Parts: sequence; C-alpha cells; structure tokens
Amino acid sequence: MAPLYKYQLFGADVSLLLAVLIGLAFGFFLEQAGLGNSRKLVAQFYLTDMTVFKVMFTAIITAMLGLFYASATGWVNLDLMDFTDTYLLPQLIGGLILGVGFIVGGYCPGTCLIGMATGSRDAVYFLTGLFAGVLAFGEVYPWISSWVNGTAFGRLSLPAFFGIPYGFIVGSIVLAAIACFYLAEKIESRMNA
Amino acid sequence: MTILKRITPVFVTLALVAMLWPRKDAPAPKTFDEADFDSVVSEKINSISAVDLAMFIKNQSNAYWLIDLRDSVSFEEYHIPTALRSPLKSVISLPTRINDHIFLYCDQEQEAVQAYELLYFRGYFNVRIVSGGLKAWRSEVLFPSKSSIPENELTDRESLSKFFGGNVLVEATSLDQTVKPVEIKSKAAKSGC
Amino acid sequence: MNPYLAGIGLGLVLFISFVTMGQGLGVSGAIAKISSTAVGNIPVDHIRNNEYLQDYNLAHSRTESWWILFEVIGLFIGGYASARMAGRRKKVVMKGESFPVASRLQLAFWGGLLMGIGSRLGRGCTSGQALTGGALLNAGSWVFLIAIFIGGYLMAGMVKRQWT
Repeated sequence: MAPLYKYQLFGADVSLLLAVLIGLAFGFFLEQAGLGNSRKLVAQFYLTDMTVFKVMFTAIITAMLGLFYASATGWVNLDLMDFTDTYLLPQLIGGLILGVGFIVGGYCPGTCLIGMATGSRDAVYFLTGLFAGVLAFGEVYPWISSWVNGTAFGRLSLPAFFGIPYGFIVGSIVLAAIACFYLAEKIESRMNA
Repeated sequence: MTILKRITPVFVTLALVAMLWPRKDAPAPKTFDEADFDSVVSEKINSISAVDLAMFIKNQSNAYWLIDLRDSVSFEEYHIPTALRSPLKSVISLPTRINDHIFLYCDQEQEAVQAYELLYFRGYFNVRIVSGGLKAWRSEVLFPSKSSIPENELTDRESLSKFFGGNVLVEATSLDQTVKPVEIKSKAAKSGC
Repeated sequence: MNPYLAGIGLGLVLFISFVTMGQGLGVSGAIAKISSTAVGNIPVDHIRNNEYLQDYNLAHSRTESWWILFEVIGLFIGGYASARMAGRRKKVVMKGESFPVASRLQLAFWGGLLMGIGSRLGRGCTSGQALTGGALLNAGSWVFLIAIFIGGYLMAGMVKRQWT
C-alpha cells in the first residue's frame, strides 16, 4: 500500500535520503528544460517561448494520470496524501502577486536556485528578495492573520467541488492540456516568424 | 513538435480511459468476517505508559489524537491536557486517518480497549491505549510517590509532573488532590511547501 | 531537452514523491524555514517571538519538517550537475541587452520580495502549489495557478524593457 512512508514502510532517515534523491532529479529536469534561465522563463509572458507552460502542464498531467490510475486500482490511498487546505481569497491574491513577482524578478523559488546553480547573478538577488519577502510577511502577519486564514474551505478538491467523477476531471484536464500544447506551438511559431 | 505528436496518442488514450473508468460505487455492505475479527482481537494490544504519553504531549514532536472516553462531567472536572472527548460509539466517526497517532484513555482501561478494537479492526495501525488510564496518569505523572521512582530519573519526573500541574509526593498519600488544568498549545500537522 | 520530455520526467519525479512520501515537491516552504530559523536566533525579542516565523523555525520541529530542506539541497546540486555536464555554467546577469545591470539586479530583488509574500499568502509556490496541488486536483491550487498566469500577463507589458 502506498504512500509507503505513511504506512511506515520506511522511517524518517530513509525519507531524508529520498528527499535528496528526489530533489536531485527535480533539479536535473528543471535545468535540462532550460528553466534556470530567466529570459526563457519570462518569454512565456511575451508568448515567444512557451517552455514554462509546456513543462509545467506536461508534469502536472503526467503526475495526475499516475495518481489517478494508482488510486483507481487501489494501490495508493489518496486520503493519506498531504493536501494543502484551500483559502480562496488569500490564494487568489497570492497567485496574482506571485505572477507579478515572476515577471519582475524573472524566476520562481525553485528556478531561482537553478539559476544560481548555473551562475546567474540576478538569481542571487532574487533569492535575497525571497528571504526578505518571507520576513516581511512574518512582520505584518499579526495584522492580517484573520484575512490570511479567512475564506477557508479546508481540504477541497475539484471533483468534490464540482461533484464530477475524479477520472472524468482528470481526463478532461489532460485533453485540454494537449489541445493547449498544439495552440502553444502555433502561437510560438507565429510570434517568432 | 514531433515529440508532441508522438506523446499525444498516449496521453489521449490514458485520458479517455480515465474518463470512462467506472465510478467507485458506494462501498458494499460489510460482511462480518469471523476469522478477521478473531485474528484482530487475539492480537496483543498496543499501549503507552502514562509517563511516555506525558513526554509525548510535552515535546509535541508529532501530531496526535488524545481521546478521552469518559462522560462529559468527568471530562469537565479533569482531563489530560490536549485531550478530546468522544463517546465510545463515536470514536469511529472522528475525522481521523488510519495512520494517525491515536491515544485512548478512560478511568482505567475497559473502554479504551473497546475503542481500540473498534479502530484496530478498521485498519488503524497507530492506535495505543494509555496503560492504567487516568488512574495511572494521576499516580505516575501528576503525583508519583518519590519511592517509586529510580534515583536517576527523579529530576526528569519532577519537572514532568510540575509541567502538568502536579508534584512528586514524598509519602504515598491519597490521590484525591486537585489539579489545576494546564494550557498546552497542541501542534497540528502542518504541511509545508 | 525537449520541454515535453522534461515535463514527463518532472511529472514522474512528482509521482514518485507522491507514492513514496505521500507529499509532493516544494521549494518556498524551505525558503520560509531557512529564513525563519536564521532570524529565530537573533536576540531581539520582537523577532524571536514572531508567531508566524516561529511556526517555521526548524530548531524545534520534528524530522519531517526537514524533508523539504533536504529536497531543496538536492535540487540545487541536481541543477548544478546538469548545467555542469551540459557546459551551461556561465557567470552572467540575465536581462534584455540594453537594460542596465544595476536596475536588473534591483528588479530581481523586488520580484523576489513580491514572490516571497505571494508564496506565503498562497501557501506555496509554483512547485508546492501549482505542480503538486495541480496534480492532486486541489481546488485552491488551481485558483492559485490561474492567478499566477493572470498576474504575469497583466504585468508583462510594464517591465518589457527589462527583457527585450
């Protein structure tokens, strides 16, 4: 039965070793995709290079399909999966701020580390900004905590929200993503013509 | 583009199969399997000593459920800090997950054992009863007699009993002392990302 | 590497993380933990007693909280090794050709600051929310994911000079 760790099939020490290995592979694929390069990252928002979208959504649909089949066949117990609670408004505003930070700073937290690893100096400044942002947030947290923890919906998944079967949503998202990939290819070639 | 064309049929097939996957029906009515029941009930019951439980609560190093199975009057009068009251029958409908740390206690052990079997039979594998129940909690954690504690553990046990609002007794007197309830902020499992 | 192949690779890594650990990938959580732990030891009560940062202080937390930190260390090494193997390591400042270096570095800092705040509001970043929550069909993550793209596209025109 999986998730293996949640069923105590291995302990905390092994989990940390696994963390490093998973991180290694994570960093490898990000760098290989070219996502350590901020110019390539922001090109997503000027429609000249849609790599961010392609990599991100291929990863999402791959993992999503894997999870669906693993749980549909009873191999993975999804109830034990860590699942962040939904806080609608803070997440909406947080996403907008993050998007603005992305285009202004040129990275996201993961890709900035890759940028640093490949030698980009702007990534170091970005990382410093990240630390400052977290501390600034901690500083104002007492005043905004009720809003930050407001509009809470708990453990809310899309199938539960829409009342549509899990497999149907997964399939629809995968099909939509594939269609968007073809669209992205078309936009790219038109923008670079 | 050629790669996209090559992966498209794979993703589309997986998506369509996922969409047509039969919905999980409502779970079939449970049939009572005597052999299952026998093997669960004849297993040794997992327990935790009152002192170990006290350390666990004090350190707050793991998320847990501490469940008090007594009636509400006794619960209001005194309960182990961070405990949650639940009647025996409702234990199975708490929002617990099968890998959660669950500690059960009552005045002594009877109800805790019953609740243990209810949960254990349903696959919960981290359930423990508090050996000796609340009686042991009083006589081992809150008001242990000095003579019952090994020399080298004395200071630890003293601070432990002070932490929970009791104290080590030099002579074994009656255990009817009243305890001032202590406030402990219980740490819920936090998913970080 | 072809973006679709890299995406499949990344998706498989994410899937392996789900199956083994029961959790996805994350980065901003590690950033929050490092910064909180670092300032947690500054002997100024105002900072030390900050309730938000205290929650992320690694000094008094269980082993599981260290997971994301180890994963991020792996991420950095993985990125470094990959760039090294491909001969892509180069000391540069990434920007549009005519944009001044100092301004670019300043904007990088402010962008990072915004993202630090945004990731705390959204409970994660592109990895922890968009990728992980996206694959789990987490409703909040999908709201967050769409908001990221909206925010980026809305702002793109205003900082175009930086990148072209």
